[in-house]
Amino acid sequence: MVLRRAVLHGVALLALAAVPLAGDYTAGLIAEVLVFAIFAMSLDLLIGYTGLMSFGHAAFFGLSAYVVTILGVHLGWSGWWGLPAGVALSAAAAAVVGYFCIRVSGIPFLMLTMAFSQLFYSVSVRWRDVTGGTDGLTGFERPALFGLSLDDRTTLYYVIAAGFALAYWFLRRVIASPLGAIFIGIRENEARMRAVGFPVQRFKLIAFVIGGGVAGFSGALYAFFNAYVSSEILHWALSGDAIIMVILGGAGTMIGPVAGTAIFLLLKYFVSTHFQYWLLVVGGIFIACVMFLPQGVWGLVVQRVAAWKRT
Amino acid sequence: METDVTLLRIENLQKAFGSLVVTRDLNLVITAGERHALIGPNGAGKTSLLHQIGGQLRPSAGRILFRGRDITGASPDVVCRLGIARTFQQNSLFRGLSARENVRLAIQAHQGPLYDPLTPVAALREHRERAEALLRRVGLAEGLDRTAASLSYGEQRQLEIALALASEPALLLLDEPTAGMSPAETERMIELIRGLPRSLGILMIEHDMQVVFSLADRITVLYYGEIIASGTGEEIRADPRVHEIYLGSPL
Repeated sequence: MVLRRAVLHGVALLALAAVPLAGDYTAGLIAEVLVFAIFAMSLDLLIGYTGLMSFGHAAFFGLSAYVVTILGVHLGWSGWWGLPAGVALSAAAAAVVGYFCIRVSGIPFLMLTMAFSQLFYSVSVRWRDVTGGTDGLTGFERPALFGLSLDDRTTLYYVIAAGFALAYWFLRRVIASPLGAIFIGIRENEARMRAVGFPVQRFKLIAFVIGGGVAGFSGALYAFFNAYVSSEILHWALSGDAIIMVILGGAGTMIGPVAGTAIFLLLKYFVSTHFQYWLLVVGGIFIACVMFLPQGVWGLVVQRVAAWKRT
Repeated sequence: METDVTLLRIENLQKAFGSLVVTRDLNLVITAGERHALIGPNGAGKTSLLHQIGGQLRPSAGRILFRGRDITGASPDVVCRLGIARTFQQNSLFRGLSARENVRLAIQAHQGPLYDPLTPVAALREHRERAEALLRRVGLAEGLDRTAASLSYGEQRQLEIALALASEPALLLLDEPTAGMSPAETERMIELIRGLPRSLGILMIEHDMQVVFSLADRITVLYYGEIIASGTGEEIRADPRVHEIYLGSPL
């Protein structure tokens, strides 16, 4: 079991490493998928593992992307300093937002997280001097790694792929840890968690901060990837997209959000070139998925493999 | 002298939902190691009382002292960490998790680690062994990897007890442990409760009079939120008001 898992991980790493062989266009596409996959995985920690339906997760993605870009453009900071700053600020923002939001649950939680994220969005639109308003902020210079500029698409791809592997490893560790077990317990039965002695609120906040920090990590990588930010990435629509990615792929699994992100973004690229209303297609697939595949695409794969093993 | 052995002291407890009074000027003392049964017809306020002790409900007035410490209105997790564990009338389990993981979580709440994000749970061997020992003790020795949802109803009731015992409480609150069980399962549950350490205080809601009289040192009868009788089994049997309420029931 352990061996097979190690082999699977090895194959996945090799596949990730081989992507640039398919050319710059494909590598760019996969890089974008990986950036948003980290974002979706960080949301899945909340939705799928802790049972917190956050509708404002874009706030922490966008905040960090803005921090990296603003520090780079206005203060000349290297992205390598911007990245930890972005992650730290996202986690701190998640601590503040979470402090208020975890007091409620269900729909009020969803609305409150969305309201907070729209606050960030408004700031990005209004604070033109710093954020560039709706025009966005250009002029970010990608940093270099060991003398190789991230302007080189292959270098950029490897940095993002490494970031993805790191985030995947980290979240996997967290979920398998005693802390992760507490998150899962809260998802399963919050009242019982209290009755056996866990201060549940504190752990919801910890999950929210970890989720926010990892979302910040993906936002920083997005700034590297795009070298341009605009207020779109703070809009609630991105929070909604992320929820679709998580649920489409399979909430409460590690691979699900990655699969969901890949399906979502590939549909976006391939359908949108032929069909203006590509979101209609995504919406249709999402509805079908929720109706017929409540465990998501990856959930179905897991089920099938388990059934196949039994026969 | 009495304070040395007093485990739980309830003073002038009141709870009302609007005009509906579910606990009315209630005074009750439970001594260390005592097995105390709470009986009364439906709607007498038995579960509401357990909820107030366990922190699920906040009393309107009065005090609850546990080992001399005021726990009135404390949250359930604080109450549990102080040494009061409970089961629920409706099974309240981690349904999607294995029986072993259910108990392991409860052990983790008591022993930690709480904030460790990197050690794999699978490496916590002491938790695992303790969870298995507890499950054996409540009569669940096999199929520990099955999810709580897939256990039979009676097994789920047993798992409820294991979850409560995991925190090594000094006082155990049991809300109808035999509710919905077959006679054979009831028999096993009685033996299980009887076999718990004598040092453990138990406050138990139970409808089955046979269970009550065979297990309890003392019995309290609740009627519309009020205590109408409290004493040993014989005293309760002899009480005319209790007979009035339970008219026709075999006491």
